Amino acid sequence: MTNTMTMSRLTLVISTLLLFFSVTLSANEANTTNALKLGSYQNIVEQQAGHPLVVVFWSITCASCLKEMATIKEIHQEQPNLPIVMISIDDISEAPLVLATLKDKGLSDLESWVFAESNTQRLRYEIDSTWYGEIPRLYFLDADHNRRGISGKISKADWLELLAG
Amino acid sequence: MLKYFQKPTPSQFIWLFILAPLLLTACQSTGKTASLNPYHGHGSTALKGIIVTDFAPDGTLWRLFPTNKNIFVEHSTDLGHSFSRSFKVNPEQQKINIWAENPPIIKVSRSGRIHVLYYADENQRATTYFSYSDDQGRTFSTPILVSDEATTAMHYMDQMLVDSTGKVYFFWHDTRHGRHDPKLGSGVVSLYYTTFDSLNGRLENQKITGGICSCCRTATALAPNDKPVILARMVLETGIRDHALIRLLDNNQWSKPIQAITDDWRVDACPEHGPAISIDDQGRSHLVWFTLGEQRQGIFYAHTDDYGQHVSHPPLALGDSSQLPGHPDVLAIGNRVYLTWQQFDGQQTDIVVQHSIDRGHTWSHPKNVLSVSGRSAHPKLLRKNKKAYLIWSTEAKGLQLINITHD
Repeated sequence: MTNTMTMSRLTLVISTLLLFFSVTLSANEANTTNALKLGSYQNIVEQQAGHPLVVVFWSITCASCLKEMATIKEIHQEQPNLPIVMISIDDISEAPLVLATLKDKGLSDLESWVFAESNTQRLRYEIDSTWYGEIPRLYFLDADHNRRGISGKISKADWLELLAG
Repeated sequence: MLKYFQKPTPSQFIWLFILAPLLLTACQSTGKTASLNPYHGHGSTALKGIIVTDFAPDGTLWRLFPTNKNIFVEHSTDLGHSFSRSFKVNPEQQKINIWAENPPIIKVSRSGRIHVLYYADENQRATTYFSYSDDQGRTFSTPILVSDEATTAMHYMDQMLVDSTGKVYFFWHDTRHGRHDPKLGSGVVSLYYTTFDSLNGRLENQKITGGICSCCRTATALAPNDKPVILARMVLETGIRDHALIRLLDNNQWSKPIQAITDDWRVDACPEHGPAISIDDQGRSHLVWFTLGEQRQGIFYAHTDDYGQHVSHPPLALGDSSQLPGHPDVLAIGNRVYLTWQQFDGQQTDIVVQHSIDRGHTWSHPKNVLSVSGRSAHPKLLRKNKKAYLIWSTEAKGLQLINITHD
């Protein structure tokens, strides 16, 4: 029990520190996350009008998503000008863990969002009315913003093929 | 005739205004009873809008009410119109961690013992705890960990079955053998189980199989011989995530998984969309599941009389495919089979029911019976003797219970 309490306190301390750093660093580095509400997705896409864009939906508890991040890191290193937006479908209360996970996977400089609506189904529907919620879910948008949605972890070769259009 | 269409007086108009929604609700319901309990005595709403229930053999409705820090249990003798005072299960506050695909469970045995299973964040996230009460919920046993590696391996998606003798079975997804197999993909875990049939017995954990898709809830039911049958989304060697049946044989060994459904869903993803199973008293297993496979996409029903060797074909497609039908449940009572699932039209979630009176050969038309805007749990079917009830827990309207029995 003492062990459990120590671990709980440790988790609390780590969470507090993560929250502290996420707030203090946000002024200087892109090490912060945003709250995804109804309408946010449309704004994200419009910000990149005329440019290709990749949007990745993921979760801190999704093993396939965490594996996919190694490929995302490679693509990001090779094509640093390609905007890749990471959207976590976890609750906004998990923001510290979302940030810690992105940092751990070397993706903390990517634009990051976390679901912040209690009715996540409505939020998903607004993004894609055919998406059942399976993750990872990737959207490849070309310069004209023609969109292709893919469910599940894909290989680097698949990424390159989809990016080539 | 014209006199019947006179302009209503102001007072009549007010009554019409009040009664119209009630009448509409009554017309939507297929059953005889509907109850609504949006309010409760905890000073906060149920965590994520998730309340779970079970009927005791005497017809008392028991519900488990989770909050951020506690698990409460209450009961109702008037089908949910009113509930008893709340009894707390966990004596020390914990960070309760549940979600729609991973809800807590309450089960009442034939002897009246109240069994409770819930999840709290400890060394591992969403660690499973079990507690029971032998005095109608007034006091609960100190919650114990179900997994014997609870501090080092994540374990979740539990199921709890109580057989006719009161023996309790627990089943769960366990990461203790976690390793990445490129052939299979990610998120592949083991299915574990244990039993509890004594007051202070240790819960000895045993592995049933590997190759379980981690994030889809596994379904379980008792066969007529009182032994468990499992329907799980498994990850086959080719990376395909289709459903298999496993059962406890008469020699108390688990059968090898039998792939019951061939959808050919090759994906390395978390669908978060588990199946359901109900077995009738002649041993027919009624199955419902979700897939986005090559063969079919959406939610489906089929049945098998030999635990997956032969399965009815083609599967029955359920729901309006343009409204993301999902999270189905099934309940068999004699020759009657009841189905429910949820749909979403962009604004609100609808609950649909459908039934068969001939063990799943022919089906009624689907019917929308409830709807709500906002967060909700998955719809569930509950048996109360020969009657079938739909129960749905939502953030906006609390717990809703409808008798959907087709006599």
